[in-house]
Amino acid sequence: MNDSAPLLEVRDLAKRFGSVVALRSAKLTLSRGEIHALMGANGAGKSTLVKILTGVYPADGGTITVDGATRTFRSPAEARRAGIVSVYQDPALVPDLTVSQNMRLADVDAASVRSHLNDLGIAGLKFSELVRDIPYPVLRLIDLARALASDPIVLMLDEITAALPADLSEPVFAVVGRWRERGNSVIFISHRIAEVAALCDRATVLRDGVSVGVTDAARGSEDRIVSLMLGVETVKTGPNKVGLGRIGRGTAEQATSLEVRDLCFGHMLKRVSFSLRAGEILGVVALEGQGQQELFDCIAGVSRHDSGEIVVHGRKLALNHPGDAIAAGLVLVPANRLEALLPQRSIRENVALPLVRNLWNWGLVRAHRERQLVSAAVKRLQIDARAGSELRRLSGGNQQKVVIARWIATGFQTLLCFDPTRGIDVGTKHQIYRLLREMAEAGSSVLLFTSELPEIGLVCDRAIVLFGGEIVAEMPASEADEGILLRAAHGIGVALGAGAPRRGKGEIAATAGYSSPHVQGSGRDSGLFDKIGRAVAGYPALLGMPALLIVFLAATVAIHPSFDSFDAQSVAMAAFPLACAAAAQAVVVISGGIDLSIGSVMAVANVLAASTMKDAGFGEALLLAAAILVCGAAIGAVNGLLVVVSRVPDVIVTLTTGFIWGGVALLILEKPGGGAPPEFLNLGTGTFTTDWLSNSLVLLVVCLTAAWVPVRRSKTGLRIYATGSDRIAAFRSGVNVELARLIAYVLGGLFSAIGGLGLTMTTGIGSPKAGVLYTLSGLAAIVIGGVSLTGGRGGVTGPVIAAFVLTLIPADLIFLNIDPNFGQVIQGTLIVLVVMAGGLITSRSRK
Amino acid sequence: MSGQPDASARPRRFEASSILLWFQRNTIFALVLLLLLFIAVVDVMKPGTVNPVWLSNTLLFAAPLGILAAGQTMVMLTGGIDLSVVSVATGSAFLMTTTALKFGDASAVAMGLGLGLVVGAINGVGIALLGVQPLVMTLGTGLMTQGVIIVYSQKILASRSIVPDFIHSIGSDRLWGLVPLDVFVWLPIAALVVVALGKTGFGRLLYAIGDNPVACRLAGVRVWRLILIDYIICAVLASIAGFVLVGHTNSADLSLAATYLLPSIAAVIIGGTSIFGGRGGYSGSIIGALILTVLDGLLTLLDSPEPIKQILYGAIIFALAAAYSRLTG
Repeated sequence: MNDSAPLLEVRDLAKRFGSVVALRSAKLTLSRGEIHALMGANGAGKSTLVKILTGVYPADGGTITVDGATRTFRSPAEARRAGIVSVYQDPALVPDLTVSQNMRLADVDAASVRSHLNDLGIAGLKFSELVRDIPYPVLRLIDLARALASDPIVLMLDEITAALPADLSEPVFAVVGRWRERGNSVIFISHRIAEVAALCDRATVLRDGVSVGVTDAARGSEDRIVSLMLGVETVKTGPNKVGLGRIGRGTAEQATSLEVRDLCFGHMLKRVSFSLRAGEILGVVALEGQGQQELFDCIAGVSRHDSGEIVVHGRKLALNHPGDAIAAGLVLVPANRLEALLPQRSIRENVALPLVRNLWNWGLVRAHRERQLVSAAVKRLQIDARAGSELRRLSGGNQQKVVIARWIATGFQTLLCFDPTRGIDVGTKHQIYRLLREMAEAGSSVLLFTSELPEIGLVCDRAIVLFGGEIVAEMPASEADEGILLRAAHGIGVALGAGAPRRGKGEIAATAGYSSPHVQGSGRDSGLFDKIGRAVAGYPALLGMPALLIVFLAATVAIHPSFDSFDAQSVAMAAFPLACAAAAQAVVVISGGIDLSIGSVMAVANVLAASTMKDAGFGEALLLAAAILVCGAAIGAVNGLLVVVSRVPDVIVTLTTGFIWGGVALLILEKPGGGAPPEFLNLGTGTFTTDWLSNSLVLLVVCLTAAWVPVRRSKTGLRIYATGSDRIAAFRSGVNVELARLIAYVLGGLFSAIGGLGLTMTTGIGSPKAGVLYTLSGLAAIVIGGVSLTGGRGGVTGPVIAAFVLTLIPADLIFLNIDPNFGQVIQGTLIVLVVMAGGLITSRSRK
Repeated sequence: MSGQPDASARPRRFEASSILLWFQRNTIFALVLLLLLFIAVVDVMKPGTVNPVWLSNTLLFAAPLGILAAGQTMVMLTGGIDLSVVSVATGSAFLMTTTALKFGDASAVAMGLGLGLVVGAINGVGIALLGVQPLVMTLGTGLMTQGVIIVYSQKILASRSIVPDFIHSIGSDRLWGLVPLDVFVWLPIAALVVVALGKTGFGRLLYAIGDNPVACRLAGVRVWRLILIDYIICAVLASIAGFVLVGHTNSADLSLAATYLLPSIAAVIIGGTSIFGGRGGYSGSIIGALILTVLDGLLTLLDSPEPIKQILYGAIIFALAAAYSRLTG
């Protein structure tokens, strides 16, 4: 099988991130039709190697040869064209796009993805569903199906099985096996040696960024792989060789340290009861999404349980916040360690974080005591503190140790440990096992959820099995053989109440069994309020904005019954520039940026028009207008380039360029003045067919439609939304994110220029400072118009309608004979109320 | 810098240009060098300018900006931003001057500070409890405050406004003819903020929240309390900056602090605080405020027309921010 020339050859690849060397000298030879395992401890450089191969990072040194030709890939899109595709640990799917939009983004055929998904055991997935509503394990499978659909010659799977329960892993293995039979190659990264032995042909082992060996990956080679990974010949796995030395003493007479009675949480936990004794380690076994996450979150005070009791030392706890649980001695090591850590702060500050949690600790830090506590904990866990000034520079295993060290320094009674060894190398795993045992010997208790069944026998005293939110089995660890646990975890041989098994045969895994906690929290049969809330929050432009406008229009007519065509015209004219500013800001914000220079750009266009058109004819004026639009786009391009190239945050860039463009406007026209030919002014001030329809309104609709709709419909629009939603996922899907952001700024500049011309038309003059106000009002309009400032969500219509609402407010005040200066108060209040209501709705539907 | 107590523990074994590396670790010195450079340029442009009086003037002008930047630093460390500071500064000063005659100096000052307290509390509640983005929230409250003050100014007669004597002397007098009195307001604030950020649990948590608010919650920290207090402190500091400013101009007008928005943010950015939170400190912002003040003086010295001045100011701030982000990577 391996006699032909290698398909892919990696030689002496090196990569450094700042002061941390990720890869020193990686070698890898991949033959045709081979499944090649890439193994190594945490921080050995596996993921870095994959990311260099697919063009996510550039290499510092070394060569990559594909089919005999030396290649360097500058982006995942380029690698994809060469037939090299990777499924990364974090799915490269954009959360605010639907599944099918994601497929379009990456240029793959949806039908082919669907057939691959069928093979992977996920049938009936709705492609119109938003990615952010789909649970994580399913996303990884979609990502895999998408990779397969692009028909790669080299497929790289980075810990594809880490998040998958056993029943979803099997089809993956089958599909990968078939992929090999078709003559393609696979690079398979995994910590699970058993998987590697079952699936792979050969294995390359990395240690500290160096390839330390290539070996056959057949069954029986496990020990050799482990010793290569650890760099020691003698280390072996297996319960008897860890040296945990568990004492088989009767824990029955020990005091109870935690008692859970009839705990319920949504559909996820149904009257769960158990107790945990001092000095005991209780293992929790469950397939993905059976309520274990919710159980831990409730006990740790992260989520509030619906009913039931959590009792510690005979006292019923009211847990409203993790702080309450910590005060009661219940501390959590969460599933995702990054959730618990401060990446930019030192090991010391990370470990000492809970020590300053309470109001009375907010004074001067007791440095001496803190240093003692921290260094004792760091020493006990053998944390490698060399890169200790910033936590993000530590390897995954060391980061996990920091999370545990935090609680040793703080002190606790019961440790809630959620899968602490996921994605961690063998050496560190055993260290953690030993530590847990030591803590139990010292009288603490541990509740341990694990996705690796052998850990139950290895570290636990007792095990419970969760299925469908209920405890379906309980047994001493000595009897908990893997087969029994697995059967129980699948709900086999267990009688359950009606409706409990939520996942029967043939049912779609995607929608029933594997919902993420996020989705489960809101539940599928949620109340009417939530539905309306979510509908309004999701489509404010569709529902909320026109309604708001109609209310304001009705109010205006009610206040001012003689509202006539002239009033309608003046509202339209006054709203024109603001609507353009709102559209400009909306496009930029959707792309994930922000532009605080819009008002100044409008001012530049405004004075340019007024100063050049003064004595021009109509035709000439139109030409000049076109030139000014080009200028606006060019200014937008400058803004965008500075944002993309300089790495200075967009707020700062556009705040300063706003200053600069403002200066430019003043240079062109120092004082308000200039003018334009009457025909040109008529484009804004005149009317179209009826007196009620101002030209400015027609012009606004025509301009924005002509400029935005084609973009919105095209792939460029999709790319802008994708970039704003999740820049990294978009990049990995093959989007040129820099270009997408640049285009958004160019469009922003163009819309601003339209707004500037609108100012000239409606006021008849140029005024270097008139535009400035529109930066803030435009921002107000997009907020009210339902564009999410985090990017990727919203549209242009909502902000434009919001601009009309904001224009009606001062008009109404004038009709009411109220000081129009109240308009600003109302505008400000409206922003505050809208965003606060938005906050309320999201916090409500999150619950 | 104050925020990185463990920086010295990092191993020094890399061959990259060691001077550059040293500056990366001790950015404050790079900033001081830059400040000295600007001062040198001033003296070269017009020899003899840099003298005790000039220095005294620079400090006098830098103080209100420095005080604004103190609050801005504290909120930006948590990953926030406060666009309402200039409205609050203007509003507090205006409220104080227009109530001084009627209620006495002390109550007038209290009312001015009260305005800061109220706006800060609204900001804090929206951002901390309802999860509103700081940029939007403070934009809204800024517009609101400004609008209220405009309406208020038309209800009362501006002629009744008076700047209390002690405020006036803080804003413009000098001790021994040399040390501006406003420095004696700035200095204790600066000392407090630096100590609070570097040495207290409160400061530690502000950095932590800027880095990862979820981790803070999981560690038992009531994040909302910190954010709420943070924004209140920021707004009250803005009120104080407004007093110093009005003491200097000696008359309250509605655009008193309007030009300070960009500088208050720029001083913090130039001083090395990340707009995404979690990194930086107030000592940098102090130098940032001084640099901006010297730059302003330099542009005035050039005697260039207003537009050119504005363009140069924006360009230089951008260049500094870009250079900084290159330096720290």
